[in-house]
Amino acid sequence: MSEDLLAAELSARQTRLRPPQVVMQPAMMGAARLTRYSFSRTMLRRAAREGWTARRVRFDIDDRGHGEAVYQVDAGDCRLSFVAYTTTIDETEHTDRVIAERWEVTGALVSGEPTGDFARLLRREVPRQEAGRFDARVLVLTRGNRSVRFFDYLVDSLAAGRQPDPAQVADAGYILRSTAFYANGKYGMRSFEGYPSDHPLRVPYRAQMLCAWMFRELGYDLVEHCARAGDPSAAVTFDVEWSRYFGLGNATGLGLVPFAFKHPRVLHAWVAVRELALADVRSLRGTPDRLALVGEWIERAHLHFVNGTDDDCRPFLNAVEVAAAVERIRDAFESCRNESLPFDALYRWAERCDPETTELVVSLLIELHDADDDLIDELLTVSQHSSLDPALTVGQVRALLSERFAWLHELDLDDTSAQMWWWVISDNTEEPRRTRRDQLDPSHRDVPIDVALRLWRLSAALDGYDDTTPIQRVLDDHPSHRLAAERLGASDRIYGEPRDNACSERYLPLMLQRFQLAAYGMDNFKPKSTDWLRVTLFGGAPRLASEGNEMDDNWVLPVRPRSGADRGRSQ
Amino acid sequence: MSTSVTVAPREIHDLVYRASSVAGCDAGMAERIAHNVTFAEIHHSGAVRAFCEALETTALPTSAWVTAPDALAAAELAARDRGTASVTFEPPVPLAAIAATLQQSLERGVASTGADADARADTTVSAIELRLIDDPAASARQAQIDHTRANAYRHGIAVEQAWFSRLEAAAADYLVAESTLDEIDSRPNVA
Repeated sequence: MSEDLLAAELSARQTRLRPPQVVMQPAMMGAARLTRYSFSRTMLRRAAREGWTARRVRFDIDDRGHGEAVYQVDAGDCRLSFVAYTTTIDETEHTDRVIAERWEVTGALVSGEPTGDFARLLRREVPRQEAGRFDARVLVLTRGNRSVRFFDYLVDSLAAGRQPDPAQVADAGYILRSTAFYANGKYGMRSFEGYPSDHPLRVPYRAQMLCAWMFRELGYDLVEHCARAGDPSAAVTFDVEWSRYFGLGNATGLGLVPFAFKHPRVLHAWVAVRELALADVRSLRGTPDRLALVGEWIERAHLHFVNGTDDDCRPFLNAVEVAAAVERIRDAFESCRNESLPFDALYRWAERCDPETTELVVSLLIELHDADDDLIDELLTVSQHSSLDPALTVGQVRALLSERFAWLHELDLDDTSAQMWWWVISDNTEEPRRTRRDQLDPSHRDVPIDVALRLWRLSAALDGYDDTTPIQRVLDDHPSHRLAAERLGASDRIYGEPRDNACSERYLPLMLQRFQLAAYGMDNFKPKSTDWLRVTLFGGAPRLASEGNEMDDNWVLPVRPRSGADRGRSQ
Repeated sequence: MSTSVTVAPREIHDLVYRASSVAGCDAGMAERIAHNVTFAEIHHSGAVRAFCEALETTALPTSAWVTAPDALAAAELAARDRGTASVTFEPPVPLAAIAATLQQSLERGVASTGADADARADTTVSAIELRLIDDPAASARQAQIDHTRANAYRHGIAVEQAWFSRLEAAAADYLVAESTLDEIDSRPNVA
């Protein structure tokens, strides 16, 4: 079992791991960055290593960019297709919220080829999104819109025979922006557990990543197609610098938060893989090759961020502020180079800095790690099966609470502000939201991610029970504590619990959202409120037609292309 | 023949959870009911129907859907102490209300008789005998459970359309109107 394997890997590094009281703090989770083991990168490395081939097989799109496209991937013996239906909608109908009813692109990743009845089903149901009905041949459902600011600009530039002006594009970094990737049994689609053990998508979020990669490709193809339609004689395609720069935009709301609170073993695996890698790198000696590699990544990060903007990204740092942090990291690295364990020394310097600097250093250092991707995939694939043993005694429950949830004492959970919010699912496309308890009574409609409150109340409910009493007796007396008791049993991994109360007045969803987005491989975090943000995925990544060296892993933190004038001067 | 719809196991789980919640069950109770119904639908069929019928005829929080699993847990404790134990249900309970609970006891080394492995989930059970066994993982029943479960997750489960629609309707009250939430957010005293 992978849990046993992960536990063994952690145990072997026990004294060198960062403790959960550091890494599971909201501020640290809210500073996370993509790493070598983020899902976008592991997916592309797998594709390169196993020689997956991808191609556009259909592009029935008119001059305005309306129509149907199909992309195909052969992943070993498995053929997968991404089908997309494109249109345009009025700018006023664009929304980043998941609750929109119309989109300019709707798509699905499916098993096999979309032909015959299956093609007709997809054509009918995919544009309906959540209102549609699917079957196990459909693996991921997605949708999104064109970038209002840049799509037409990019088309016009290429149609006029020009490459885009970097100053116009700023750090937008995407052509299309998605708003959802549904999978795992929703609306009748394939369940994650339904992938056979040897299936190329039987790794968490691999199907969504593959789908997102092709969604991004569609953006490039749409722009170049519309540019050709605009002026066939003058139009050019993106040149080599621009042809990989753009990623896929994504707007992310509160839907991520319930997932993280409901799946402690999944969260643990995501954090643990990063922490294993960091522990290994910190113990490395500073060979010339390693020192050079980290130095290159620091320079690369600087080039990436220094061209960014100074937009208000609070509570996160904006690109200009991150660039300044990279300069401090560069200086610190210079002073650590001659230490016996220079990477450990750099980390120790970073942990005395702000969380954003700490986690940026973690991300840069992990570029040195070279674990077998098969092992990483296995470590990330966890069983969530758990059931409460009714024979567990109150004494054992008290011990587990002390061992796993001592941090609850830091949260002031008896204060009324600790339960100001409750989490709810809206009737519009089932979007998770939060609302105030003093404004609307939950009436049994709350999404039970009030883990901290429930465990705190369970702890209090044990008062008066003898240590030898089975927990089942307590639950017979207090059935409302069943979920807490079940959670106590399931929370058996050190990195499984975000140390926060999702119902507190002070709760900031952005922190947990950023952690998850970084785990997916997203970057360019632009908060738009306390509850949602925009990000970019696959910026700088290889394209579908890439092969050989073009498929290498050396693509993150892309540098914004230079203007035509700058290129001319450098020649 | 009634028409069927192929659904993913999580759809049954999510809908049963929501329907149980708005019927008045606490989250832990609702979660256990959802687990039992999903397991029973996968391995026995007829669980969605049994659950919907119960929703329409009983007060769920005080029904056997809540109390029978607790009675089984208490009997399991006794079996682990003494080697055997029994529990009777009066009136008899649908297998759908206890199927996963029985399986969990088996995984902890307590086997049961009284509920036929091949029975439909809407079959009622009047008594369960429990006994300690040595190696629960080695049972032929476990291999069958693993196989059936894998198939359900790979291909989905065929459920009668009419009952699935009733389940969806029962679960719909769990959702709060978007307009209500927007209106609350727009109030001047709400941040």
